[in-house]
Amino acid sequence: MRIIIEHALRQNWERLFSYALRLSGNRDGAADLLQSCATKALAASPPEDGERIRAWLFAILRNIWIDEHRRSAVNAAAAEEALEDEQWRRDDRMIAVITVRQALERLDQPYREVIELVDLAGFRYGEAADILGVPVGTVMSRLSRARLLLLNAIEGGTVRPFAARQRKRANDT
Amino acid sequence: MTDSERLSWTMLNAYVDGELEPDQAAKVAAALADDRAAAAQVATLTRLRAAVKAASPMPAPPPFALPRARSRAMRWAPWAAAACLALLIGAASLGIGQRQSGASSLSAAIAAHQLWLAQSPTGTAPRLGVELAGAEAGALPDLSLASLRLVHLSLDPAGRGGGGMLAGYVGPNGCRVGLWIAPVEAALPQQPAVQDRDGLLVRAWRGERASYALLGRGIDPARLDGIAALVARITRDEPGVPREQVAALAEARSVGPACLG
Repeated sequence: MRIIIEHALRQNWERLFSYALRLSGNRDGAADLLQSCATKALAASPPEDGERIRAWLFAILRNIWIDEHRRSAVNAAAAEEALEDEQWRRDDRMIAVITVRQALERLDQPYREVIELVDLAGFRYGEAADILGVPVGTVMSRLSRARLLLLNAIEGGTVRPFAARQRKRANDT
Repeated sequence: MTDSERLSWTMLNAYVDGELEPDQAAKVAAALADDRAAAAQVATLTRLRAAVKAASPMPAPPPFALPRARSRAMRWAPWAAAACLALLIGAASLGIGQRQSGASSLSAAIAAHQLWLAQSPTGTAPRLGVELAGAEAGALPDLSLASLRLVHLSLDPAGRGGGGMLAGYVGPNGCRVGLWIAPVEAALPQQPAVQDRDGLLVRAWRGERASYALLGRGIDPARLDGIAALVARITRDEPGVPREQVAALAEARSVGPACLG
């Protein structure tokens, strides 16, 4: 049993650290979180379904973080209200590595977290729901809201990619 | 479901993420052909997803390292070690087993160490031994500064050699060093002194509550001296370890010849 968990930990070591970093916000805290996760996982029984072991590890890591920080508002902080589709006037040229990076930093924790799980760790909605301990519908609405907030942050950010700057200058003149 | 519901922002996100059932996805795709605004949103989402990945390089994680397995023996080993030490120290304080000659006690120490060396490193423990499978036992010196971890504990029957306990430590390359702890021997010096015997390098001394002997086979004498100084310091409850002593331990470990035992 330990071998299975060790293997899963080794396979997901980098991504677990990335998630821990997203939660804790600093390398030392993330490294501690990762070690606590490994300790707890090795002392526990993994899910019988081998495909669920990866989500199980992420859930352990997240639960440790919540226990340590007593952030009862972790889930509550994300408003789950329905989104009204506004008139779509996006400039896709604003979406670039530099603007997205800046916008991600401005995103609230619950939204960053769901993007980390789905877009970066590659979890299905159902798996992310298990990790976060919420219904799948909540993952859907939180993720879609996270992306909308991300787009808003990109457009409202101070950094603009080169193509967008050119366009803005052309419009100004 | 109307096209408006089908092309809601949430549904489009699920569509881009491949989370819709095939028939749902087909209906969304068909509806997108007639809705340029929704198609633009899909394009934006696709671009955003790719940009998020590109903007989030994987951080370099710490080296892969797992906590050690704690065997059943390991869980009670610290208590066993503490109990053994308490017995020895109690006996010493009552004057039981106090002797004037260090030679006989050292014989018991050497016998216990050789018995341990005779066991294969992964072999089973003797009758009174406890294999610790690594990590710390609270009552025994932590020699991690000397890159040694506690792996073995055996209690010498009092009737055979006056009572004593051998704590076995192993280095990163398998080098085995024994720490013999016995009732106070008046004949021993207060500082670690060379007492090599029977093919073993031995450093022996006495503390306030117990006497100690550090034993190794084929170990670099300078390294054994360094470890003995560290143990003497720890067992005297001296706070901290001077930086020079730590450096000397590291140097002895790196420049000395490989240990045979």
